[in-house]
Amino acid sequence: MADVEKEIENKDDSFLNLNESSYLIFSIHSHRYALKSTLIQEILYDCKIHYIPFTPEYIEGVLNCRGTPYTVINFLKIQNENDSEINEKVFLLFKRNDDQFCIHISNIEVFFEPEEEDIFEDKIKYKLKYIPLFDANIVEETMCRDLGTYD
Amino acid sequence: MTDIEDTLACYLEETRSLIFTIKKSPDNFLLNLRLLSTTKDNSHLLGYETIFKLYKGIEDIYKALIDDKLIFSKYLKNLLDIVCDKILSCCDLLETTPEELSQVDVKPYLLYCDKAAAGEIFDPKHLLKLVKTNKNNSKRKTKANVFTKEEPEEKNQILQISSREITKNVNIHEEMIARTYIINNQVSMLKTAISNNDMHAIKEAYKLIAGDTQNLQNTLRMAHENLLGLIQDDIFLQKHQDLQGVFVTANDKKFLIQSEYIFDIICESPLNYEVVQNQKIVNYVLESETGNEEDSETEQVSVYSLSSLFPGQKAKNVNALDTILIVDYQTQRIGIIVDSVQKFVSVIKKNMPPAFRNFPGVTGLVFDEKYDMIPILHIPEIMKRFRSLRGYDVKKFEAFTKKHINKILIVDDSEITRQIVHAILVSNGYTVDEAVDGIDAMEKLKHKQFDLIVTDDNMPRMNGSILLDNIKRMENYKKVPVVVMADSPLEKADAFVSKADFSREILIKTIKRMLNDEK
Repeated sequence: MADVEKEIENKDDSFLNLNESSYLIFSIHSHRYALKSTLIQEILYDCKIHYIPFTPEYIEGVLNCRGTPYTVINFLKIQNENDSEINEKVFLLFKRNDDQFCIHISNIEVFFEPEEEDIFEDKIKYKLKYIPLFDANIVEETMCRDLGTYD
Repeated sequence: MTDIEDTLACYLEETRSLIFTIKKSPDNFLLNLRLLSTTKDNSHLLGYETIFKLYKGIEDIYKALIDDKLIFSKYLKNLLDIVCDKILSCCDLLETTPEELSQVDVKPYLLYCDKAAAGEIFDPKHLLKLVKTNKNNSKRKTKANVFTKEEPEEKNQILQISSREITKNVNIHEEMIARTYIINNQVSMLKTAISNNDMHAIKEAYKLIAGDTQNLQNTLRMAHENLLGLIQDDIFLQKHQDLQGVFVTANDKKFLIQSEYIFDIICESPLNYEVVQNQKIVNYVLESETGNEEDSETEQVSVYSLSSLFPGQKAKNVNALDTILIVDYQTQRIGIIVDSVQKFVSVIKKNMPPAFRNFPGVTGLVFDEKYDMIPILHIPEIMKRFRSLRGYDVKKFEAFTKKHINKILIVDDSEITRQIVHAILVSNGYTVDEAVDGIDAMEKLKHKQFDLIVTDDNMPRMNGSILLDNIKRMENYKKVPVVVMADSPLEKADAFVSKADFSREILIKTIKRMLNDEK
């Protein structure tokens, strides 16, 4: 999976012209996550979610990104959070070559470049706080398992 | 001829004869199954596992047919035909290159046999395509063997051309054919002119032929370019896949149903539905081809509401009639009640994101006039879901509508006690069976599920205590209450009613408490 990520990172077709070492901090309700900006395809606001039947509850539907469908994931529902409805219409599209999906988030907090010593394997340090890194591969694996992709 | 060759010859003759019988009368289940079993075992004994597996596949289908788990359909016939052909080709291989038999890939055949035997919906066409591809490949392989040179693999390309483009090309070709007739005519005129030595006529004919030949060449070039254009367009079409269907709504959600599944769209008053086992049925009139009403047939079609499959509120029906899509898949036909049917559309299909590649419910997306993404419902999956929904509905319906009558078993060696308790329980609305002792009770418990057992302790052959032990060991009786009606209580019993100071009220009260039936 690391190779895939590197391959994705090396592609220069990003819609977000960001520095390679920058990270995004976003929030879903009160949870804050960090994500390497090179793994982000795009951030969309106020998109309509189109319903897809028979899917697990955490799949809210698909959104239309210039004619390409992206699966919309509610990460709070994957984690069985009680209050999982997200009112804000912010969607974080991942840059992947194996799938098209995005997560429904509450807010984009900041793009920043942490010092090297503030970057850890599973978290980064931001304003004296540790923020966990968001692992999109877990979402992909969950989705593929539940949709029978591996069958 | 050696013994082995002799055996092989006999085996091949037997196999071919059997396959011939199956192909000739595939619906003669019993005969075919009997013949199959012998030849199948011989294949195993001779070590022809590939043929053995194929036989096993057919055998499973026949067993399912004999057990009435399957209905013999033309799809099944086609599948049997394909598998039989495969067995024959394996026989041919045995005669020519037996060492290659073990390398023959029969997995797709076995998969389809499994599907058929399990009563799953399958389409033998796909297997047929595979068989054709395999045949082509083997032909190529044979060629390669002859010329000892590998040829590049040829792809079986499918062109999708719109009807408008076909019409345009047909018109161009018709024009060219017409021009060839004109040119033929002019050539005849030229011949006549030459024979008459009429120079003026020769010059005129020559001019006409030259002009029309030039025109024909131009048209031919245009047709050729058109054809190339279509092939280039096909790459686009293959990526986007044009499809036709109708937009329908259910629970305020919009879906596309492909026209290939739609047999008819009808409107029916909900008052006209018949209800059989909680299943709505509509009498669908199949009009005859002649249009004669007397020749038309009526078919009973189960109808299901599409809304029932999705969350949300069903749209308030302002129409007095329900709109029903009569859909077909293989031998099955059902009616799907939708909230509304919008227009028939010809649209470009978009694939779902890759994670959905094996997802059965939705086959893709299309755009509607608002550029909303509309899921394409996969009708075979919808039919499957309706079937499972039906069983659930029936159970739910029964649970809500039918009052459950508790069944009680009285175990006592005294006939008079049994009669008294029997009368008391029946008068209180219970169904009652009797057993004369523990052994008799065990026999009855094996064949019928009771909701409560009333037993004496002191009985011949098997007393109440041992019976109780046995009952609690039975998986389906672990939670069934046992009331001991004896002189003294038993340790494992759920309740005790003393025979010494027996009263009707105490017995009924105890039983009701045990059955949670106190009102």
